[in-house]
Amino acid sequence: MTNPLRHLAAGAPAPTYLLRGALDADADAVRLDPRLRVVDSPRHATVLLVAGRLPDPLLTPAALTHDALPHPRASVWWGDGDPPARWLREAVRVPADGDPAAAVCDAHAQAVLGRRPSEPAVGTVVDRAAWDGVGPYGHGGSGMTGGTPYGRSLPDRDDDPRDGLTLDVLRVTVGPFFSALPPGLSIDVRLYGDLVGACELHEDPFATSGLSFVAPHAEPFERARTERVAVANLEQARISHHLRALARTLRLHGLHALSDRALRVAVAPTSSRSVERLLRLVAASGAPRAGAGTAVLTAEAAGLGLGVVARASGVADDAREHDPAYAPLGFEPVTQRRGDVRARTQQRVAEIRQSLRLCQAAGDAVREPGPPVEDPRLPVDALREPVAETLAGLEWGDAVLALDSFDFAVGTPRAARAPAGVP
Amino acid sequence: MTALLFAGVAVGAALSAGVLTAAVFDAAVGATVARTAGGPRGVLLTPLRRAAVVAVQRRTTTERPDARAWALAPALLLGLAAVMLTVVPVAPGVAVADVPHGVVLFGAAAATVLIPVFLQGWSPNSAFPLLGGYRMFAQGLSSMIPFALVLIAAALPAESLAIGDIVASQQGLWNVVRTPLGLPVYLATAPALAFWQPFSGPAGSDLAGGVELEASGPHLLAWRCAQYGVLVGMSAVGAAVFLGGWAGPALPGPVWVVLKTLFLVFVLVVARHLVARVRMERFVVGAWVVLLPAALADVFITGWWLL
Repeated sequence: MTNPLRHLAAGAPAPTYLLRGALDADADAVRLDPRLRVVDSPRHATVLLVAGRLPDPLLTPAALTHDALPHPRASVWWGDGDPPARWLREAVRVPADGDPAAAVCDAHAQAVLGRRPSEPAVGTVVDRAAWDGVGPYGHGGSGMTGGTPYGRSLPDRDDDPRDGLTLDVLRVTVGPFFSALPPGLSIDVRLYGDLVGACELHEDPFATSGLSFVAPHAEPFERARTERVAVANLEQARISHHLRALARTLRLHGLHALSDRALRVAVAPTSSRSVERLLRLVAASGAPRAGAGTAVLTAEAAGLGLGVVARASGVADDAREHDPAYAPLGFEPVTQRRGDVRARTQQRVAEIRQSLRLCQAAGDAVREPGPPVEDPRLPVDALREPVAETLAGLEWGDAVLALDSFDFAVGTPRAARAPAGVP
Repeated sequence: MTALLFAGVAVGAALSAGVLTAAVFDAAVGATVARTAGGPRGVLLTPLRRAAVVAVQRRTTTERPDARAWALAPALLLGLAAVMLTVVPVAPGVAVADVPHGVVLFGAAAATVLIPVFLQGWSPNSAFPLLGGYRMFAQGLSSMIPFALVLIAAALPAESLAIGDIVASQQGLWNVVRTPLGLPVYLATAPALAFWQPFSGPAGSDLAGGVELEASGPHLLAWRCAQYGVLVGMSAVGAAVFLGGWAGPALPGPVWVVLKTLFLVFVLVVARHLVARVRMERFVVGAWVVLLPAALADVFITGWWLL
């Protein structure tokens, strides 16, 4: 006889931890499926959903993430071909054009009801000696600072940049599957308590492994390089891109329900009125006003060819300005001045409104291939070092918001922004 | 002994009902904001189903946690939530703990919340939960004084620290009018002490859940129930101290207590879904520069009114 509690649990939206890989399907749309609930920590999930191929450097972190799920747990591999890791061969498989939510829901129910054995630890080898700290719980004591004596980095001692007091400094790598960062992106940080002392962004593992991919909503930008594409389609795709970025930002602000609504509007074709209603709610929440003076990127540092990020710094650089298809629409670039987190968020909101107007004005107008495409996707490598510099000296929460404000698109082909930046 | 047992059952029942109602409100407001289809049945069942999932998950552990302190944290938080509810009078002279210093007992319980939250952050021996624990200290210490001051201002007209007397002193004019800054300051500081959005930095998404990050299974369930419990406890005392408690026309006093408590829970739940998280530094500065002077002004205004 099955426990009624387990039956109740089996009917719940499956708590799922999403590992985003190289997949041409819309992984964001999964978040909106009522049959599952994407969570921020693998500790709170029953199902690990691996969406697409993972480059080799991410396989070990993926295995560690798998082992962090509590029992009962299950994995779902969403993609075509063989799974990228041996431990995923036993996972439930869904083709790229299949229904991942149904598979996740089923795997969750089977695991919770005990009809499918909970997956054992993958047994990833981590080179660590036994914890050997001092005190009843081994949390500290003499000799517990500096270096990596037990196979894990222990805090160094250094002067706090704010007040000069000597305190412990922790060197940590955050990512590549930290829910608050773009999937696959890792950063090395020196943490002085809650303060980021120094920071380094790793390269995009997808781009360096040749695993570039194009999300469905960004597909019109790719096509526009070589084909005729309706201007309205391009602007709809831009609205969708910016709304997805806004949804991620709202999640960081703790507004999960509003984030889901933004994502819903981004994924499903919708009216301009519903977008406006959403933007009014977002404005009232205070989220777009956060981050004034944080992570400022000057116009000189931003330069040309960085799309939204450059325009938020006051650089009126927009490939649409020189595109004949946009000339009859009276297009003029919108810009902000400050170049901080707030400016980048407000720039996105302003561009959503601009694209709504362009959609209405464009009618059936078609854009011919040839001129540079204003692609909103920003590859990580376009701005790795300047961004790392802007994060130094920020509190951790601000640093995460700042990194989010650049809206890096991992896995974006390097050519995505190359044609932009027409002076 | 029987009385003690009865009191325990009463507080347990009130806490359970309050936690469930708050969770249902949370699900309903969240679904409305997100425009999620599901209907009333879904809204009612979703919190139960989610709780069931967490309950059947096994507890995970970390490398060298302080297991005893970690296990103690949710129990302590749940206990503090229960203490908050014990001092709430539902009718004249009817409270589980109708003590002469009820408002002090409540204030002490609210201030102590940061201990279990810090324990929950420190014990797993993990970086992000620890940062969450430190954030709670910054947030808790900044909000405690204005929180206590508005409670004192509300007690002045009653010339008593018993919550029953404070409610009785509001016959004819509730403290929400008599001490005009009291409820706004209370509603700005109570969620901070309950680490509730928009003051949920200790459990923030930028820390992947912060103090909750490493918790799972029954431990996590107890922790989340305890947080809802603290929210309900603070709302119940807020209803008694600022909204006249059992006072109200037509309906029996206990019904008014419940309705007013649920109103404040609803306000806090709506704020959770519609107000962005306040940065820790901004909150700390705001607490000392705005909330503390406002709370002091509340005390002076109330004193002037009484003169």
